[in-house]
Amino acid sequence: MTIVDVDAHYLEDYTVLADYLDEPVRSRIRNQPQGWLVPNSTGDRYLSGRINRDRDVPGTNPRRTQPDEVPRIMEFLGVDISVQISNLMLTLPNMNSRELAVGLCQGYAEYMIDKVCDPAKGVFSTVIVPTQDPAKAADLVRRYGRAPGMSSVTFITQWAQPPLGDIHYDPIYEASAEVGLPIVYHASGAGLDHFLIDGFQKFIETYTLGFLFHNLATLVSVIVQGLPERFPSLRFIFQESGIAYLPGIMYRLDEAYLKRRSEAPLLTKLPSEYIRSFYFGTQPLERPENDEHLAAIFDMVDAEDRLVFATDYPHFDYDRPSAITTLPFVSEEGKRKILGDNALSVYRFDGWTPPERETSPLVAGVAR
Amino acid sequence: MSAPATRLVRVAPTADIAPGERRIVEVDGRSIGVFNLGDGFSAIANVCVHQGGPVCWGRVEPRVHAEVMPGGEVRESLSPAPDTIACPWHGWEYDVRTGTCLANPRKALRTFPVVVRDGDVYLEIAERAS
Ligand code: FES
Repeated sequence: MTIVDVDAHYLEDYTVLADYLDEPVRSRIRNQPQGWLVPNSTGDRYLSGRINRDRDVPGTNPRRTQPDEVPRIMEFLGVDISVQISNLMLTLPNMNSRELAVGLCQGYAEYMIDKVCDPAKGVFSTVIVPTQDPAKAADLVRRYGRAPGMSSVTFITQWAQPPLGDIHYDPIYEASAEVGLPIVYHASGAGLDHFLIDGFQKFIETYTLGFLFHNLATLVSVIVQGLPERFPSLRFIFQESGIAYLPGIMYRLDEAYLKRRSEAPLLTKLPSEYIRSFYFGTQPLERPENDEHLAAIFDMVDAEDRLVFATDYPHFDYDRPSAITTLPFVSEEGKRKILGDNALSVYRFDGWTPPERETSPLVAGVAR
Repeated sequence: MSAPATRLVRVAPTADIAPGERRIVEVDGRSIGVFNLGDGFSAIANVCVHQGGPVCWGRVEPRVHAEVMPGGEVRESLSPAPDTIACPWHGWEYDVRTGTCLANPRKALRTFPVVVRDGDVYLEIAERAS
């Protein structure tokens, strides 16, 4: 069995990204205090030090990833392939400056291809697109999207305005279709406060709602604006909100569509049918006490064919493969698909070949 | 039915685990944390019921309580002594004496009796059925 982690985070030193850029953007990024560069939101994700990664992987720096540490982190997690996604840029659309957003995405792509991606070892990344400038973003997709280490094209969904199904972003979708990469929508915990409803007091509030809101907004926009009809070759993956929210939006949107089909005339089937054709990262997978409740959700979203396992390591709510292996109602075949085979078919992992062994030796660690 | 057979496994001299400190030991391939809570010892399995994390490496801290005061103010307070352990992987909290999960009392860590005798701390471990 191959275990693919479609979402792990690379804690990069953004001053290093600047090395790949031309002036004047280079100094503007290098000399910028991080808090001003990419604003974030309320709350301490690590509960004032209570959640702690210091002892996870001995000899690594849990606050700044180094390129050679990634394979050791993968071993700790028990995964064979990992898609490393910039940590700094998880709130990218909140930057007003187009030139700095484009610069960061370019520096990040160059750095990952140059120093981090190692397809033979299963280390991949993704082209992150600066939604502030769709034309330049499309250039980045064409320029870096063909590199073997790049598995996908990633939109950060926080604050992206207009919502991501809009024709405004068509240049990016066109370029992605051209290079043959799937689209990842990555939500993050920032973006609810200071944008939609200011004044939440605790991270548990903005965390619970923020990811969800941005995924819901993206799902509705992508479907109603007919993106799957306009770009039929594209495949879509939504990350970072678990899966329990899906039945709610599927059936609510179906209900609205039945009444207001004239507002979404591009659609050729029910919204829920589009959702069942999308892929969803599993993390953080909900575990209701009654397994039958989760089993019903799995059934509604066609889980065995549509879920792709993700750890989101090292974030506070990361999952291990045991989140999937311990599900009593999923067949062995289903677990294999969710943990790896679905991702192998939707992402592009050029240059990776499965090692010559029956099962991952790491699966032993997974049973914990 | 007779009580299941147990044996005592020596952990350390009592003086080696100062109040507030802990010792993590392997017994029969299981990792167990032994905590000196000041007024006594407790022992819990070092396997979090969430995803198997090393919960005994976590911080032991006082518990956060809250009450609504007359007039509506919500006042938070801490329990007088550290009584709660938080798993370092994702933060699940447990009562360090009983192993009970604070957020869902239907879940709990395994606990083990601790015996202090003649200056040493021992774990009382059930004999494996052979
Ligand atoms: S493994 Fe302990 S909180 Fe997740």
